[in-house]
Amino acid sequence: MLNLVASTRLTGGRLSLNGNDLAEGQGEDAEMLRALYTAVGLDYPKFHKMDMYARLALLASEPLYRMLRADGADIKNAVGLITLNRSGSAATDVEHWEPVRRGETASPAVFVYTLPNTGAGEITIRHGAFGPSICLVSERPDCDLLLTIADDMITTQGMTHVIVGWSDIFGAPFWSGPPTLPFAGFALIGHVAGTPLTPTGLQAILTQH
Amino acid sequence: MDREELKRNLKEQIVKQLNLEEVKPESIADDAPLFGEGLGLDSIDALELIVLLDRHYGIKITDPKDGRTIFVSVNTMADHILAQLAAPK
Amino acid sequence: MKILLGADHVTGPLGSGSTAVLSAMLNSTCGLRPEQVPGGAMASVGRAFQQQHLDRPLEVQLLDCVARCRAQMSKDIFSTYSEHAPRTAVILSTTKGEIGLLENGDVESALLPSLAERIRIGALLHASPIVVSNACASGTLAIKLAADLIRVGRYDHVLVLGGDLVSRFTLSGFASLHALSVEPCRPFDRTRDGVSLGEAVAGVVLSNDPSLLAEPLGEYIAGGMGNDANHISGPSRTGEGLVRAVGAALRTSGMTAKDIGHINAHGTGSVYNDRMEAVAFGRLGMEHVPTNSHKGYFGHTLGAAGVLETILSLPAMRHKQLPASLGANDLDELPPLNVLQAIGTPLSNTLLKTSSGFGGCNAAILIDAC
Repeated sequence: MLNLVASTRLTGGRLSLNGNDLAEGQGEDAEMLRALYTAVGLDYPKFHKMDMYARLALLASEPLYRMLRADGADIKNAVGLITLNRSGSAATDVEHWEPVRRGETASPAVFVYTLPNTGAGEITIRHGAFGPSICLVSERPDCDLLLTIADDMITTQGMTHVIVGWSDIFGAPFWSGPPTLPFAGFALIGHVAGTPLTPTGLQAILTQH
Repeated sequence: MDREELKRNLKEQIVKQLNLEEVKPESIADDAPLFGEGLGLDSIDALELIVLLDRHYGIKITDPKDGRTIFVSVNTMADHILAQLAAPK
Repeated sequence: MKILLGADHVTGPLGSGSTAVLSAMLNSTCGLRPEQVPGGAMASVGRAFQQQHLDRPLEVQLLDCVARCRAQMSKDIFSTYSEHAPRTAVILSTTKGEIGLLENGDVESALLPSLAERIRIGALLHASPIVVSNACASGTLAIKLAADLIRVGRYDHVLVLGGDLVSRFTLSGFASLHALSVEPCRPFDRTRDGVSLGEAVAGVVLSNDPSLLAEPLGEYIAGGMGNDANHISGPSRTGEGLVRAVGAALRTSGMTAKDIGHINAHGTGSVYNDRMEAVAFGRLGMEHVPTNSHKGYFGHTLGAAGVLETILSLPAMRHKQLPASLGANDLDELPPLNVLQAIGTPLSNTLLKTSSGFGGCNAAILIDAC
């Protein structure tokens, strides 16, 4: 049985851990994420080189990795990661494509973020996590499938914990969908002590209400 | 082009292009190494500096290996830019 | 429980169908051609339909591939009308999907879930494909995920699809990284200087029901994943993530380096990737295993690569004719690997397929060729 150890959500500029506000940032995406970076006391200059999606994923997962570190978990070897979203790296894709469309030189620092798994990549780099990571892109999280994958990582791949997180950048100028703010929800799960986690419970963490 | 002004511009362009949010342009010494210890730049930053020279100065570098001698410091970058701009087309 | 692979199809720069493509490879055919890429430089590129001068949407290519895979099965279990449909899934491995739509300004339709939904409708699937997007490790990881989901009992049959287009988007990006080779890429060669991009789609069915697959390609044994936790675009110097991925696959299977008959490596032709792999295979005690990269034949096909190269490696093992690693003329010996410079024979019928990608992700699978 999988238990929920802790969860974070980043919505409306507020970052919360288990429902309690940790930090708040105002303004447009970059400004808001910058404010949250300062508010949670991150000292990681590489943060500013990431695209908005990777910044969002890194910030939203940070409290869970801090908790794991404080608890002496083996982050290096035994924490798996599943990241998800709907729009992949679309905002950065547009940023890469615009100069190319105009016949200008592409920016290599932008291009390297035009993949949906860069958020997962940056998280594993920051925390020195060598374990498995999977990046899925879907219209909405399939929480039953996610719990199946997480359970398998724990049961057969030797993980003690799996972090499952949805993070997406909305509200970009090109966006034709509903004008929502950037949103992220991350769950730390394991066979350890915690509250039993059902697909519905995971759904509530990974989706914006 | 005035060399001092060029170096001032370069420092601002480097900080902006490489998103060195926590670095003040004026804190970069003219002869401080840009890679390794110094600003801690990496291989992608080196490629981004090639784009910087192209976008701001119209100078093309086709072999990234040339960057190793050009991007040592702000001084060496300024030397390269001035030499290229002075060279007959 | 046996998990078999079969009912495959591939399309790419060397044509259509794994028998034809493998035969072209054994004849040393290279599907890469020089062209000018955005930014003005020349690069060798593997176009899927270059003879017809066609740019086909990925959706069209994938739907064709799905149909051809299904046609080889004794029952059409993937149709939403089939009673087996709830026990089936399609996993789509891609990095950029239908990126041409974004180039034309239709960002919403270019999103991967949108492509997946169009595949569901076009192929009358039970559900939208699960999209795995772990950069260039996606294909190998997708096969591992498919097998895991069958093993734990969530599905009985999974069709793994891989596909990516050669697009101005991707070409301009790799050009900005100065990562493209002018000549066809030369994986594991001392003078290698970059990758060649290729366009391909590939599909293969994994199933726990042997009666569905007339001529199975192989039996899935185990897989593993690992992260470099090193750099967003540069491979690890120690090959740590790849060593962990292969190590996990070996542990799960109970196999050792001695059991591996052939390594189909990622082998992109970039200086650092190939060195990283050589370091990793050396650490794993596999420097003696006959190793090749397929990328000299049709380029790096990104999200398709792991699926395509697995499909092509299995019949090569069955026929004991492993394609030479095209372009590896003057082997880089530091560190040493047994890179095939001519057609080779496997040491056993166990294939090790590995892929590595941006973000530092690595995937490895072990499959016994049938």
